[in-house]
Amino acid sequence: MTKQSKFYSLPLALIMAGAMVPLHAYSGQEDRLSDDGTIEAVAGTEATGTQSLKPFSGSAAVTNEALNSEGVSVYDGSGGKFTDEEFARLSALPVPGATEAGTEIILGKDTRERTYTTTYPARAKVLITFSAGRCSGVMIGKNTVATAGHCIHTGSGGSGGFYPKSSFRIYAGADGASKPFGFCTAKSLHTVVGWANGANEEFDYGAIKLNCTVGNTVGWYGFSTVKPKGKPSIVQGYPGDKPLQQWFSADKVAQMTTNQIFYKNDTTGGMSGSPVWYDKKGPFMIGIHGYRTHGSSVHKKFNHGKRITSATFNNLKNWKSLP
Amino acid sequence: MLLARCLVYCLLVPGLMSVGCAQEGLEITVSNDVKNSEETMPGITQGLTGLVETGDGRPVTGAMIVPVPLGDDTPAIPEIAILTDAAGRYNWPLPPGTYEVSVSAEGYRTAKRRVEVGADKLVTLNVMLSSIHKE
Repeated sequence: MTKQSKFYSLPLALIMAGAMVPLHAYSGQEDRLSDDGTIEAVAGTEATGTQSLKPFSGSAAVTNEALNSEGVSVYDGSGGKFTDEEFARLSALPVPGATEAGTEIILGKDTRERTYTTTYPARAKVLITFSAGRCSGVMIGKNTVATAGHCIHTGSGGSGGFYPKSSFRIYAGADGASKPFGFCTAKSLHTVVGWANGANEEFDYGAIKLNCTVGNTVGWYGFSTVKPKGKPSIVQGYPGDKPLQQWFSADKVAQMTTNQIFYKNDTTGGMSGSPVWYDKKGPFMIGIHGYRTHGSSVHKKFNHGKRITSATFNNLKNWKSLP
Repeated sequence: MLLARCLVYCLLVPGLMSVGCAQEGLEITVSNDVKNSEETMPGITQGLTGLVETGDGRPVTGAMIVPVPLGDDTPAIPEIAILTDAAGRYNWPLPPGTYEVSVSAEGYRTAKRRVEVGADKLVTLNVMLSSIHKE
């Protein structure tokens, strides 16, 4: 089923891949695209019933030595803190009372609350910084971060649209000026064709493989195809209007479509890639946040993100299994 | 690859349009001039690009660029936090539409400007921020 292709042969590869998967397999929109140009057909979209992978709470004892053995950058002379230059560059604090930046999609009263990140599962959420700015994400394996597609790829240009891999820094459990679990770099970037070639918000998700195994220490989230409508929802990540702090907003999933979920949890720029999750004897991700309100109908009424469909589940599982 | 991308830019953006404005705390130029295309990130052929500086020409690092779509049928805008780099530059891949763009950074007055992004157009939006601290 696997096809090797560079960008210039993308159309041919898509046609061939589409011909080798079931007709109902999303017309290739959820075929996986990696930053090396590899395209692979999504598999198993015919699955019925709920699919779930379990979370893992990580290590009971966290030491710099343990993190270092997982390949995490902790001995960088910073003493576990962002430098003043890093903090200023990444936090981009707006002037209090002088801006509306980042507040446009608070729906009614701002319900967000700050989370402190020393314990699981908060420490399994990550701050993602890269050449264009910053996003949020969540550990789903020892070396795998799930996030929005637009946090790793511009949404056009196929394999040429990935942001520079070398610019990525992933901070598990960042907490203001503190980075208690160091940071990791990106080994590879992954999204799906529906995002990479069409910026289709219905397929806006992806993953980052890390050059470390920090998940063994901080733990990771499970994810599930459980029917999301009516489920409790927590959207938790690193909003751009807060200085590198982790915040969350709790509500419930109000609506769903085939590929998206809709909710009134408050979000701002920088929250893209945050898990939409609920607690069922552990944290299970049921969506990946991506968008504020816009347009018409349900999109105008609710913030929204990618639903964990069967195809999405299989892709996340595949990325998690990569070395 | 770079040459090919530049050729694409030239084909897609044959014209040149500039709009300048100045108001309190804000000086913006808007154009679809692609003379700086070699400095943009790979893959961005549509949206906003530009430079954020202080009044004396120093780049503003870490300024957050927030485009808010205007009108009824507004496109989906990702909730990514786009920040200026160490040189004060940013790139925002955006779908076609009309936006009110806010530029904010610690210690500076927030600037806002209305910008229209056309299909396959890379619009340059340069912004000058003024300090909240009067000299």
